[in-house]
Amino acid sequence: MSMDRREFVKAGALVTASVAAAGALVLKDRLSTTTSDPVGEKTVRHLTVLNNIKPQHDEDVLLRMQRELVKAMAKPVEERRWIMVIDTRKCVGCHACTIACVAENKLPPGVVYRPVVTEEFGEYPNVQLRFTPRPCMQCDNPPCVPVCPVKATWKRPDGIVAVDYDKCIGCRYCLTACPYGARTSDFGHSYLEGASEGASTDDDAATYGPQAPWADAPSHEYGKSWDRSDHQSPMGNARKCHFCLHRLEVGQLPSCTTTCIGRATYFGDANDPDSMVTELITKNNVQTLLPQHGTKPRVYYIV
Amino acid sequence: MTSLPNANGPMLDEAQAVDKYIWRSPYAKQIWIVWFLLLGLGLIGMYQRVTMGHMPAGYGSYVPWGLWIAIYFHGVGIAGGAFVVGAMGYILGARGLGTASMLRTVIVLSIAAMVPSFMAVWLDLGRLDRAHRIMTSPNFTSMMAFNSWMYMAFIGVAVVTWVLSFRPRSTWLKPFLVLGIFLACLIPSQSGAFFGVVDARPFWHSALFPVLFLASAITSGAAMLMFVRAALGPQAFRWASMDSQAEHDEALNRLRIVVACGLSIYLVLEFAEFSIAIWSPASHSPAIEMILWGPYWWAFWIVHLLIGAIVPLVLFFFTHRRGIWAVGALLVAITMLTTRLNVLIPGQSVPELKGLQEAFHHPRLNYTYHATAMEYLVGLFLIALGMATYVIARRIGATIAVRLDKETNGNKKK
Amino acid sequence: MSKSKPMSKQDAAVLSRRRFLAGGALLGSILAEKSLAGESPDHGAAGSAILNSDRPDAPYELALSQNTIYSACLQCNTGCGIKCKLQDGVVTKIDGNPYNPWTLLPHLPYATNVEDAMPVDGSVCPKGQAGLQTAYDPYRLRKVLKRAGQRGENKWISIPFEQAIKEVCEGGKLFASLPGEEYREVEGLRSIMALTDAKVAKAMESDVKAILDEKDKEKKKALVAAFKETHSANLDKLIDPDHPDLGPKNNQFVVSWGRLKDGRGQLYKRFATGFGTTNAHGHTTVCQGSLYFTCKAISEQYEGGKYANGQKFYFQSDDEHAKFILFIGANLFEANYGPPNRTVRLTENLINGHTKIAVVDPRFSKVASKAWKWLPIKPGTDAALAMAVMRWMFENDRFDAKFLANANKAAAKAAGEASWTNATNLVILKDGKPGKLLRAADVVIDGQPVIAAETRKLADGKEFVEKFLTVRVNGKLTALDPNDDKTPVVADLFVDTKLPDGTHIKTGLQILKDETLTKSIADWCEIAGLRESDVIAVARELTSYGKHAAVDMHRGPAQHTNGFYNIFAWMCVNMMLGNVDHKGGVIAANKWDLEGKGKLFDLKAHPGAIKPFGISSIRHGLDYEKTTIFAGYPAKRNWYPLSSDVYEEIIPSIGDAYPYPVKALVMYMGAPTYSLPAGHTNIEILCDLKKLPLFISNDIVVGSTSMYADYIFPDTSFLERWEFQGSHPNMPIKSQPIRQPVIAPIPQSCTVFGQKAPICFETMLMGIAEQLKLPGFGKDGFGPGMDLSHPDDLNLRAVANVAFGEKPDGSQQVPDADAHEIELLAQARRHLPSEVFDVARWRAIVGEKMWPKVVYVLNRGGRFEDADKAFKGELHAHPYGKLLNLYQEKTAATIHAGTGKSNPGYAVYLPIRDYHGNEPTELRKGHDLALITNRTITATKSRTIADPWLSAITPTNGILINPRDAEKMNLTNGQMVKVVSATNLKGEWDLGAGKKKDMVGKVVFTQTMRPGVISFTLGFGHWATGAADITIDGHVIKGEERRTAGVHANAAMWTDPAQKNTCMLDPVGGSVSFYDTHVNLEPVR
Ligand SMILES: Nc1nc2c(c(=O)[nH]1)N[C@H]1C(S)=C(S)[C@@H](COP(=O)(O)OP(=O)(O)OC[C@H]3O[C@@H](n4cnc5c(=O)[nH]c(N)nc54)[C@H](O)[C@@H]3O)O[C@H]1N2
Ligand SMILES: Nc1nc2c(c(=O)[nH]1)N[C@H]1C(S)=C(S)[C@@H](COP(=O)(O)OP(=O)(O)OC[C@H]3O[C@@H](n4cnc5c(=O)[nH]c(N)nc54)[C@H](O)[C@@H]3O)O[C@H]1N2
Ligand code: SF4
Ligand code: SF4
Ligand code: SF4
Ligand code: SF4
Ligand code: SF4
Ligand SMILES: [Mo]
Repeated sequence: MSMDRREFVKAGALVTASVAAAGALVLKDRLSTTTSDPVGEKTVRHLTVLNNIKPQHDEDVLLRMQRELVKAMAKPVEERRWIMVIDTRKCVGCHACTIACVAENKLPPGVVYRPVVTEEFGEYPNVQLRFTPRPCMQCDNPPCVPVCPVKATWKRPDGIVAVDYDKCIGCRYCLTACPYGARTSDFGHSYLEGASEGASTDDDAATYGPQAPWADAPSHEYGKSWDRSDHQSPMGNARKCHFCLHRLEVGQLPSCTTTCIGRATYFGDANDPDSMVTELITKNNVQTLLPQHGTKPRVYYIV
Repeated sequence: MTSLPNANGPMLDEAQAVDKYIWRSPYAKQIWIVWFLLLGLGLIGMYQRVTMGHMPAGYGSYVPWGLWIAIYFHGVGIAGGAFVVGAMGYILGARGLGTASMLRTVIVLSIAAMVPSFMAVWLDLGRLDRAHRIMTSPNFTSMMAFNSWMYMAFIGVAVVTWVLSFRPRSTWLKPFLVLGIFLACLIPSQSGAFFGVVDARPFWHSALFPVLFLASAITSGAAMLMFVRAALGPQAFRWASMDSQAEHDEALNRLRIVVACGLSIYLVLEFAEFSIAIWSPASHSPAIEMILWGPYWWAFWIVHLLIGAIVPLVLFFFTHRRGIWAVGALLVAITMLTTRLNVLIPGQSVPELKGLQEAFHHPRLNYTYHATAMEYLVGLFLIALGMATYVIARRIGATIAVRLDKETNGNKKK
Repeated sequence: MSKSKPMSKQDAAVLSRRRFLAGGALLGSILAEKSLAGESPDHGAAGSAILNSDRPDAPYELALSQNTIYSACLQCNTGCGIKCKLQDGVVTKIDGNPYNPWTLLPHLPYATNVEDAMPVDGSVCPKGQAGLQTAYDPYRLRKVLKRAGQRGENKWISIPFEQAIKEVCEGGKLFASLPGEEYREVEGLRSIMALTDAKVAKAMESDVKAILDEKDKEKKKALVAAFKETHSANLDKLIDPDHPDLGPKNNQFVVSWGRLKDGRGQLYKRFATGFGTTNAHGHTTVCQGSLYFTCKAISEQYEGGKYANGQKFYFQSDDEHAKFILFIGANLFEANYGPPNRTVRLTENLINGHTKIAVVDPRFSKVASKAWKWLPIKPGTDAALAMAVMRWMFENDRFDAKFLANANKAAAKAAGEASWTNATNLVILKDGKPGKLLRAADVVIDGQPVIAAETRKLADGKEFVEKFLTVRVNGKLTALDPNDDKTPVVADLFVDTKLPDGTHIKTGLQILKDETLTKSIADWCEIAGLRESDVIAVARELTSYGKHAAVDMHRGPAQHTNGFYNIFAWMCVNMMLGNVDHKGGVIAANKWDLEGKGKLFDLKAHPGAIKPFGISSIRHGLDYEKTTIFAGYPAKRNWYPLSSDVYEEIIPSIGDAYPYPVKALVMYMGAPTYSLPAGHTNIEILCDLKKLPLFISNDIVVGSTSMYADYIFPDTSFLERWEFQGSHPNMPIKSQPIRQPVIAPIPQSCTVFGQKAPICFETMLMGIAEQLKLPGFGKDGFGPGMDLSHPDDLNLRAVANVAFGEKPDGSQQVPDADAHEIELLAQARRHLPSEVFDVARWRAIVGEKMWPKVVYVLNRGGRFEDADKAFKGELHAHPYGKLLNLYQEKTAATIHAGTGKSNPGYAVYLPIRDYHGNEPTELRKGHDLALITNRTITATKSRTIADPWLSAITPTNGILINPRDAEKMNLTNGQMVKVVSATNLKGEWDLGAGKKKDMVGKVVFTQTMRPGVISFTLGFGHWATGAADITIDGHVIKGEERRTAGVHANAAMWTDPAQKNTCMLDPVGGSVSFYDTHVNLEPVR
């Protein structure tokens, strides 16, 4: 047997209908530009940070950048354009930024937002070391975003690529999509694993015993309170650098920036023509990592 | 296989056939043993997964996907492939594939392959509790969301066709079958696209993948169909509405050809893909080198090429024993999994940024992946699940068929 | 304890405020307006300040002033200012204290309001941030542990504090329950403390001094006899009546330490003096000893006709202002004192071209990676390189002749200098050998002495005869008083002539020059294994920036058998640059005084102290020849007239019972077994109950040395205690970072002098003091009305002294804290138990007047001068400002106890030698790789292994080797090898109690190593400190696998063939030898 005309027509109709439907759905999400983030007036912050510390000509760049930060926070979020500039000539590969980030965001083992890559070149005695800190590039064209099946990660008006741990289902598609390996998944590890087994923790114990109150305290990412204990988010989620949004909110620079002992990490608002970062990216011929991927990183390197 | 009851046994209705030749077929014991073995071991893995979460798993953040995702793609491939072949056969009225009940076995098989596949991804999620969000708030720019929806649609269509198959005269059956075939073809190619869109992984970022996936899906789907039929023997498919051993053989023969062709096409495409990487000085691909000469070289040369291609082809064309064919078909159906793994893992194992692994140390921050016992055990569970789904679904289908049949015949009597 | 304690009212208040805030802004009022209870401006819709979701917003606790306490880090000894941020009484984040010049450049003005400073975070290194993991280490001790097995077996029982105190003081059959010790009587501290009469002690002390000062043998004998007469009643109090100079039996109690900072330092020394033992020894010589003691010799001042009162200190470069710095074995960005402060002062200047640096190091360090030139020197040859550089400077007139010509204070002043050298002073050469400086009054020229001797008075009233030093001014012999600040003397630099009486004389500078001329520049470079062209290029660059150039050196050149002279040579280069006390030159450290003598609280006051006297157990600060136990050369063990705190002598000297047996030892915060080269030699002695009957340790965990103790007293960690960190030479700003309790103590509480306090170092000492009724403790411990009954009695008064400042009239006091600040102090400490923090008690200790000032200082983490005060024009505002000895008469007068030869008083290059003066050619045979060691930013010796964050970055170390060497030995990258040397052929650590640990590490190929030299980073290969299983009260606490990773190759470092239980050492500066050993690598399968 085979199909008669009537069946052909119906078949054709069904197929076209479904193709159309599919197309429509995809288009809808491709084209959608509406942001789910708070914008406008209610994102304006009138912070008094540093008001009473009068600027000195030779003040630490950390203070200058913090003043600029406060200035930027007085604008609605959509008018800020956060970028980071890393001067590898000043980076001494100390990893302070890596740990600052781990501590600030209560990252468990296996989760890291800002590793520092160390490379050795040349041959004795003409040898050289290069250090490359790698936060999230907050790409303007972030491949990690469109792959997310549940809209749990997106690019904010201020350029930061955010993750809502309460939405993320932990499929890890975005991890594979990031060419920089900037996303890591929280598999639920603890820094206490394998420590002091057999020791008691009761009040009369001779040793402190297996406890890590510092690890149990909630983290402040995105201005919320995240308590991982009993498998709550962000456990099971994809995690990444968010430029310390929660610190920006109160007028503080990202943790990796304030703790950079080489002052190799600069942070600020690219929309502010007078800002340190704008100055740096215009004065120097800056580079980005893996430009061939067309991700348009918002983290620049001076080499 | 010789011990098959002769083809001219007593006439049975479909339900009886299912009972006799599946529940109580001469291999029932073996099947049960295998199944309980798979289930028993599988449950150990499931227990670990449930109690210890992802702790005992081998994947991490630099190789985020492992065995389960491979199983997932393999499973949906089988589902799609089997449907395409079976439904085509039905529409074209090919001998041995042309009856409604045959069609049902095909649909059931493809659903039985889908169910464990979904289970596999679900278990892979970081937050099982939120799986539903793919349905409730999907993002269609994501191949994952898009595919999930498409699979749902496919399952829907499959169910519709399954229902309609009880009304063979309905003018909607074939149209829906066509739609089903359309979706079924999309499934593997979309799986290919799933990787293809990931620009971050040069190896995945290849236009060839959709085609490759389609070819492998048809092949493994047909192979699975062939295996099921050959293994269960004509009787299991022989009842009132269907005729002789000859027809059965005819069907197997056709499937054999399909599998053989599919396999060949796949190998050709694969050769094309690899040869470019190897011989064109421009595009050197560490991933492909890893596949051919990496720690898992044997997965490609031994499992995929030898056991998965050469041996079956030999079995297909140098014997006429259905049972041997069945073995060949099974080999193809199973070993195609390695091709999935060989797409998945090497694609992830090549860092774009060098030195990350040394910059911050943790087993999860490693560019090498080895599936763990837990992952394998869960894999076994999934197979057991597939088998169960198949049998149960077929039994239900059979019963309904028989009922309807009785009704119509009954009416005739009066 | 951090175990959840009932919530105080204050907590409740804060929590409720949190809830309130949760509705609105992320930040408490604090940043917005200055009130603790204030409302917060409501930004945005509830729960969506940053992202819209059902999850409510939460306040950012870490930015709230009431959750912040400033203190000082001690993960390494840099002691950076830290800002500890708490969540519910738990430190979860450590940043830099913006008031502190280590973490911000420039740091915030001291007057900045605390709330204004709150949002500013300074920078600290990764170890500093991980410090909280050291404090909350699961292996931290909470109770006193008593040995319940062999020493080193790691079997313990926990006992009450009071019992432990009683047992160590009263002694007895303390370990009768242990096999082999059934009948062992342990002598308690009470009976060791034989001499308790302060008057007797005083008398004996001065009589012994007389004996030592007597040069004539016979007269010495007579004096000893006389001594026995006068003190016949008390001879039983002496170690040996025939050798009174060994001192009282009290000396058989040795107190020692690894890392001791002020506050605790004052208490420990008070304890020793209270007990009447002269033996209080630290770890300086394992650290950078010869750097300290060479500078001490350089800083000896001409007083009373001889050289005395040299200060234990050293110079470092002013990194921020120098235009060129030559770093010699100084590992700036990975270690040193320390990464945060030194890096920030360099990086910007390096890229904007203000500063250029060169690095001398066999290893391409991180600082080398930013250098203009790297000189990969052959280990141990730093003086040879210095000689090449100086020869070039002399031959090309590229040195500061003006500076060197200034012969006295007046000349220095006139030239706008703060300090001056004795480069021009004339030295007498006896048969070619430079010795004493020429005394003008002794020189008779045509019947006339150059000057008549004068009788003068010293500060303490003693009279002496001043014969004056001698210089030549325009060819004319002239008498010189280097301290004269009236009439400038600018003298001739180069003199080499004979006096009428034929005496051969040269200036110190001439002697130095002649020494550099003994070899060609090419030959010097040959020794150092460097290219002449590179060396000359560096010399030219170094001398191209006037006084804005400096040579900064640290362990690399110091920790060798020739360390003293390596440092001496390079310090001479600095003197030749004339950069001492100069902006961009080399400067000395500066800290606010805390002892308060003659100002506020005199913490030195020690009523009833028993004046300690006698030869120290490590034989330091005294000439062997002066003693009654002098027995020719070589002496059984070395003597150290010029150095102190000779770490490698503390335990081995006990092993040899030389100069006398020791009965009890306390070790605080030190792990010599791990940290010393050939540290394993100490283990053998510690395990010997006869050689060391009683061993008490104070540690935060069971450490690699405390594991051999009879008793371990738990300590409070750096986040739970008081200390005064002081400063480092590279820091121009006058500072006093204060370490204060931040978290509730982990150890349990105890009671001393009737007050509750955590079990810790202080209470251990005070407990013993109470039991033995030591003078200077308890009621009126500091004098009438000033008790010492709680650690806070000392520490808070010390804070008050810092707040009071240097000026006796109090004109330098800090301002009073305002009401808000005073409330804040209490708020931020609401989680601390009253035994630690109690407003009433604290106020009472310092008094109402000082209280607001104490609060002011504590709320800023110490006292820091403002940045613009550091320099006055081109000079350091707190200059060293004294005579510098380019030639050292005192050193030249000392004799090497191992060889009997006198030590050179000028810079020379010496080859590596053992105690008997032989070069270790035998030891080198068949061992072709020079072994050195280095730090990495993420690790210290025994603290950071507790920190899992740091393991993620450096999970282990390895044997760093240049592939050229590896391939010769066909080793492959990553393969495991054993480190063996001539003195440790087995390549293992013998840990005693039958335990051993192989010295096995993985080979790491790197082009950063000079071929022929291998290195390993410090801080891995642990066998204690949480790395091993320990049994307490019968149940086992498992060690953590992670902590055993890597290799610690100190046991491969040579034991001195002449002093078998000790590593090789620098006989003059006391340094241990870390970089002289040659080893082999044996593949292990
Ligand atoms: N991360 C970290 N920082 C620390 C500490 C720590 O434990 N860890 N400890 C602190 C303490 S206590 C100290 S004393 C300081 C030490 O501070 P540094 O002395 O600056 O640190 P080290 O790494 O010991 O430096 C020794 C350097 O000398 C080099 N070297 C070895 N042999 C020779 C030689 O013969 N000649 C020359 N020119 N160089 C040589 C080594 O390669 C190494 O780079 O660091 C302090 N800071
Ligand atoms: N291979 C190699 N070895 C080296 C060096 C090197 O560069 N390479 N450097 C050397 C140098 S510079 C130094 S300064 C020495 C240092 O050597 P040490 O002065 O011996 O210091 P640590 O090794 O840190 O020992 C510290 C001990 O104190 C304990 N401890 C830690 N914190 C506290 C505390 O808060 N209270 C108390 N009571 N105890 C505490 C630890 O558990 C450990 O037992 O190491 C030397 N050893
Ligand atoms: S760096 Fe990676 S994670 Fe970050 S935005 Fe770009 S793609 Fe996404
Ligand atoms: S892991 Fe989370 S964020 Fe990433 S793609 Fe999956 S759901 Fe989206
Ligand atoms: S910006 Fe914040 S989150 Fe991102 S790396 Fe730096 S510290 Fe981590
Ligand atoms: S903190 Fe600064 S200097 Fe240190 S590694 Fe990070 S970026 Fe480099
Ligand atoms: S250098 Fe690092 S570890 Fe050392 S004191 Fe400073 S912060 Fe602490
Ligand atoms: Mo040190």
